[in-house]
Amino acid sequence: MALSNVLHAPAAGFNFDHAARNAELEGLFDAQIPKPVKTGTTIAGVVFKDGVVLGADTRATSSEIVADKMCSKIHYIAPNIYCCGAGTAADTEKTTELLSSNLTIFSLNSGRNPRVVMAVNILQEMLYRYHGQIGASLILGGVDCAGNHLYTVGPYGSVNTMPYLAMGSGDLAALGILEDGYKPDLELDKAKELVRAAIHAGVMNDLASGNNIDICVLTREGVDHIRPYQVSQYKDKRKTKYKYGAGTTAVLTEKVVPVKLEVVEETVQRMDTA
Amino acid sequence: MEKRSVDSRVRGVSTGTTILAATFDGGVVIGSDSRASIGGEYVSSKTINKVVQVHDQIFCCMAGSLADAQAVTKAAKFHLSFHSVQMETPPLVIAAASVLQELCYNNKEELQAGFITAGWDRKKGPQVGAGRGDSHTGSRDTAVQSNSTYWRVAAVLIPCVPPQVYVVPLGGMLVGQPVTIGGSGSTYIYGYVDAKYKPNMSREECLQFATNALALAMGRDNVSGGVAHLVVITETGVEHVVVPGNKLPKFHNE
Repeated sequence: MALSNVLHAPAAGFNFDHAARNAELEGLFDAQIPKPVKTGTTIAGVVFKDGVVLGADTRATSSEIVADKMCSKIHYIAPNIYCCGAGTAADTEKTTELLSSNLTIFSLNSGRNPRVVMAVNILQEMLYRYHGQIGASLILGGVDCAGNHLYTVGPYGSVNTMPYLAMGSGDLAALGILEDGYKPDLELDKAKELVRAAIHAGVMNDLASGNNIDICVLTREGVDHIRPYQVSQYKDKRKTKYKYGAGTTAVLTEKVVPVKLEVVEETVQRMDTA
Repeated sequence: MEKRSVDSRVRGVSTGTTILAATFDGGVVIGSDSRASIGGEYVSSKTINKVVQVHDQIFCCMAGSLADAQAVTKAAKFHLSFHSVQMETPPLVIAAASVLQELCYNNKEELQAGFITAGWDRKKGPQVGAGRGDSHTGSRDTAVQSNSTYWRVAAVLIPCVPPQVYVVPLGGMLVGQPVTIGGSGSTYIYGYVDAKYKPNMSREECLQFATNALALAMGRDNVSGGVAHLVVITETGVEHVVVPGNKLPKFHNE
């Protein structure tokens, strides 16, 4: 239907081929299936009077290790649409990139700005097709001609829309703050503070969420991606410098071999850039 | 929470659910609760919409996996829209239910979703559910005029009211009934529905019946709750009634 996948339209109807293949692959690993890098994560979004505020923490974990302390979880989709991603880091990154590319092609073809519902439909169709194998829980927020929108798409392809949402391993902590503080038609500062507090609750109470907090404000006027909005108070100061000065490693011998190069052919091509 | 349950429970977001539909004199009431849960452990949404409009005067209630149900209703909406353009007439309720049945039956291995279809069409008036289910009923002979249909079963003509609500449960069976309930919460209200449902009620009586049934189910089933979404479909049009949780009827011990 429509322009969901411009370069290659999937066949009509449901296609569960990969689900069977994945089930078979699971049996091949004796010990454990290798764990992908997950974002662990608290992401949240709130619709306010003039637009949408999205927030996320910046910790990416690989089991018990923090793989990235300043990972960016608020992804660009379109000039008026941004998406927070929780779940498997690679899946959220690639899914949002794919969505962004498709929407750019659509914009160029049709001359229109994409609508948030279109992004949601494309994501839903794609994630449902993969039957949960793509571990991406996304919160999409954007402003278009039809108003301010906030949607969540689950890994199995379910869609829900609410004025406030939270996803990720820290979602319950964030939801508590959102349920308590949300009111319709909030002002920008109150909305930013509410999202910050929600992500902060996730950061404090969930082991897999932490470090800094990013905020992204979307309005008709434009986008304000504040990275970081709040810096972690537990940021460590390194005790020594780990940079090695010149001369740390002794040079024992030195041999210089000039490489002889010969100009074989030279052509000049003028480029008309008028 | 990214934990996915690997057992026979629904993967991802489940609608848990209580859904029902009932016919009254001149129309049909279709309704559901509004709770969505994950793994039966926590409520992921208190205000999910389970009553979906698949055509102007045909609605569907979904139960089971939210992702599967949303995907199926999307496909059904498309098919019905296309069908109605081809036929140059609004689709029949039975057509809507058949579309859902095809999708559920042909993909029964992978899907975990059940539906109730209800609506109004010009041929048969208000109906719930829909569809010719199994082959045991033999051939259907629609020889008679507008409101009554005769079913030919083993060469005996049995006059009966045309099936009005259609239910398409897991597996893709299709059965038409005057009143039907579904979802995990329905088990708690079979007695109530059997005792209290009367054919040809008035609109207010039927709405009260549906509200009471939903309230009773939500009171006992942990995965049903939130608000009661009701839609009244008649010849003249469609009306949405939302009963917030605190305005639901209370019974003894509450």
